[in-house]
Amino acid sequence: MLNIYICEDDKKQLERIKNAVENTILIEELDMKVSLATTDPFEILKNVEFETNSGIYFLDVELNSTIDGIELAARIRNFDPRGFIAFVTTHPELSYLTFKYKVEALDYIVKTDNDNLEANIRNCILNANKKFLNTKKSMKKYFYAKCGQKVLHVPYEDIVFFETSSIPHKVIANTIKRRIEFYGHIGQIVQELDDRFYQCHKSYVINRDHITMVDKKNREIHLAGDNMCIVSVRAIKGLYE
Amino acid sequence: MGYMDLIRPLYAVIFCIVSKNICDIKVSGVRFIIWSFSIYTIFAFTSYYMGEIACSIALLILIAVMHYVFSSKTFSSIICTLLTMIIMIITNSVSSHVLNYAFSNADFYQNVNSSPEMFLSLLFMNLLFAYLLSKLISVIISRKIKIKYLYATKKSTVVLLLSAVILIFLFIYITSLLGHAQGNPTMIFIYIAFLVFLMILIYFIYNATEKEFALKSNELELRRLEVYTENVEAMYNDIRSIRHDYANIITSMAGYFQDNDLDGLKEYFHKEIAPFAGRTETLNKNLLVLSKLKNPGLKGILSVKLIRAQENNVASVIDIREDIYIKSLDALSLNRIMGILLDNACEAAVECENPFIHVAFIKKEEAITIAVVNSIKDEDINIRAIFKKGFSTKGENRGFGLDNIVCILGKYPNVMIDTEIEDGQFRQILHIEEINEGELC
Repeated sequence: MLNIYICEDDKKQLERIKNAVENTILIEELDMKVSLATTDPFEILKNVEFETNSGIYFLDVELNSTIDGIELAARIRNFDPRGFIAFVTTHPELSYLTFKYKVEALDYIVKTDNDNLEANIRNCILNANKKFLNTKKSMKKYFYAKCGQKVLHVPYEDIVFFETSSIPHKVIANTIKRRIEFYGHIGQIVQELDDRFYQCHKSYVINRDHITMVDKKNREIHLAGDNMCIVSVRAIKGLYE
Repeated sequence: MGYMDLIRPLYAVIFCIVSKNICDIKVSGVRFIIWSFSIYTIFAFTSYYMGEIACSIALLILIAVMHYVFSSKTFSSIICTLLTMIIMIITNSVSSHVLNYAFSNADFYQNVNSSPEMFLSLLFMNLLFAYLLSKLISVIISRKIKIKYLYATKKSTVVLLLSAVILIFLFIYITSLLGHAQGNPTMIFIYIAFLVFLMILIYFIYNATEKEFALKSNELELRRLEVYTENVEAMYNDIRSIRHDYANIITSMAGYFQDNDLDGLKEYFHKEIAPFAGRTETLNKNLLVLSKLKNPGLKGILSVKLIRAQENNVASVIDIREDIYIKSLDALSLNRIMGILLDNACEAAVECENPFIHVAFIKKEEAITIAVVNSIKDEDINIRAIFKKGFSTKGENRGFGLDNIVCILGKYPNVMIDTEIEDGQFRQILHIEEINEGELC
């Protein structure tokens, strides 16, 4: 069950968004309901504070209030860290990075795109629903990396290998398309991980599923994404087990 | 060849260990052992057939070559070799002195070269001292000396310093070879005096360079701020002219209303007012946003780089919603990091069909996130490789890039980089924890 909240200072727009949302729920037969549609951001906060279910939030960026939509979203995040936030705005191109990295917004809807407003809202709700169902039944294991104050989660299967950084106490997680620095100690990390990970050197922990070739002579392991790690003499025996 | 001829060259092995310690080269144990063994062999042969001076010169060259093969840096190879030599000479003198007291009944200096137990104890004591000293020096180097300043030093200063070091230590080395040092305590004092003198010299040169470096970057910052001010002034003039036009438009409209000339008003609207509305859009919004950035140097660098991007037809957007002031990084480091990130972003974006750069500064509780996102043409990039030294997609000699950022961030454990390629975008996300100065150390 997902609760939907809408905050928009223009009454006409508010009504339009609310109708679009309710239509989508009816047509797609979704397990959701519009809990609140209001022009007052603080009313939303009051309701979210004691809500146990996750929600979908449609928030106007420019609210006629003491806080704007982004600030509202940041406060909602404190109560509902897994909720889905979508911004309704006229200039998304100016601030989509803020949406993404400040409150991890799911999406934004362009207000001025009048003809597609309903369709965009519908897609947004379906997308949130899909993600919501996925996290519920997914058996995927995630690695949680503390990157400053932020905790990033990366699926185990995506991680090609971990390596120590040249900077003390920093470890780097490498996927094919990403490189994340975080605080940690490689010896501790390997204990948290499952069997597919193997420490092949004091500075490297590799994911066996990503091995493309083992060069026994030079004691190197070639990994997906054109990566290479060296193997210590002791570890090369264990690698074949 | 007697067995002493095999034991004596073991010095070469200590040399190898010490020099490896000093510059902290990452090399697998097996490779290192092979190198040390080869150096030992060559040293043994040259010392047997060609005499002391030839073999010690050969040893120095071999050590330098080893460093070069492992690190491929000429300058640091020479410095490391010289440092190794200094450490070896000093520790050798000290340990011979200690042993001279220990073997007080036997004539240590006379017999050390023929008695294996004396020589081996000298060797072990030397190894112990040299190992500790080299570890200590490597810790000092890696903690205190920022290598980046060395690169900024003038070439002439480096050459001068190098030749001074070489001269002094050639002198020391030759005197030690000739045996004047053995049993002569004043010689050890001279060595230590040289060492202190050298350290003071390095300290002063280092300080001067650091100041020069700061001065240069201040100048650069000033120039960037000038560009920023010019742009703000241009924008201000723009706004003034718009305000002027705006007043004109209102008066003419009032005229049409007075005459009740609606057709005229319609025509006027389409001809004058509609294009005018478009004009306000061309205002550079980025510069307006930059007023929220409270680090002056950063303001300058962003305006310069993004104006340059726009000149190259790269659409650029800066997104700052709250006042940002980054206090946990010093201005120099911050500007260099942002300069590198923006240059890279611009270089990569230019190659695309729809080139763009988005930069965002996002404030969180006690943390600031900087996002630099650009379009890329080719998603098939090995992210790990671009962080390696000397890597650049543009060929040789452009390696002052991401590895420099990693080097700068060495002293900032509160900054993490998250790099990602997705949907034709290259994203560099810097997470900065804004901790207090006291906690940083």
